[in-house]
Amino acid sequence: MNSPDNEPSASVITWQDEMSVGVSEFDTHHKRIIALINKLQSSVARDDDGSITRDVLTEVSNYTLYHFFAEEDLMDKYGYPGAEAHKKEHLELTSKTLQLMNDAFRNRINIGGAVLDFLIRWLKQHIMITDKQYSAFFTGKGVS
Amino acid sequence: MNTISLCVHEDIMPSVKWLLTEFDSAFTITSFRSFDSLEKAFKTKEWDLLILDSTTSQESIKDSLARIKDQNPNLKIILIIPPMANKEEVIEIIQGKMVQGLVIKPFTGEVMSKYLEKVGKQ
Repeated sequence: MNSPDNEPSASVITWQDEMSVGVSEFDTHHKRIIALINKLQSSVARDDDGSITRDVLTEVSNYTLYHFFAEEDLMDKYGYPGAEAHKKEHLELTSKTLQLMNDAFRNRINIGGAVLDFLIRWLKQHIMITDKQYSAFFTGKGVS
Repeated sequence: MNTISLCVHEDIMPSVKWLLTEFDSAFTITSFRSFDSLEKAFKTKEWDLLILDSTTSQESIKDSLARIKDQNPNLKIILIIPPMANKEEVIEIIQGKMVQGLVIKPFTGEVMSKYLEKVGKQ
């Protein structure tokens, strides 16, 4: 739950050029995930019974899973040497996402603030560190 | 893609069919009301893509997928799961590369369309 001190602002995260991973398809995915996280933030702020938040959480989760499949397909296609570690991180994030879905739908827990914190932390870590590591590799393969 | 099989519950059948038609009209869609009827059909014909609702199977979805893949090794599968799906089983399915896409209910048309586009290019 958000305390008055960390009340979310209108947009909790914004796309910046430094977030680019050099693969336009994945930049587009990351921008969409950011938009969905901001949509989730809006729903948390105005959602009384949690139903809208659960729907938006599902939307974020689905798009993120799609992004993981797309990234892994490209890694397999070009034989990215860091694929194993990257996929392991995807699995850990998928497991956490599925747990959040369980909490939200089965236990009807108010997941808004906790989910936002997790997603923002994940997005920054995953894009700025993990995904950045494949930029040079894919660029070298002519993928842009 | 030429042949698509669809095994989903009644509540999402119209929307998934509509998405498929919007995506491409050049293939044949066959709908199955139950996993049992789908499995029987899969023993006699080759399919390109299966969109499967995990809740149509009465047993472990991982075991069901394994049997289908045995019969159709080149089959592409987009698996639809409920939000309260068994986490460990889903992770094993992903690790085993048993599916090319995973969609959690309730889903929007956006993500299903993106999977269809991706799988259609493979």
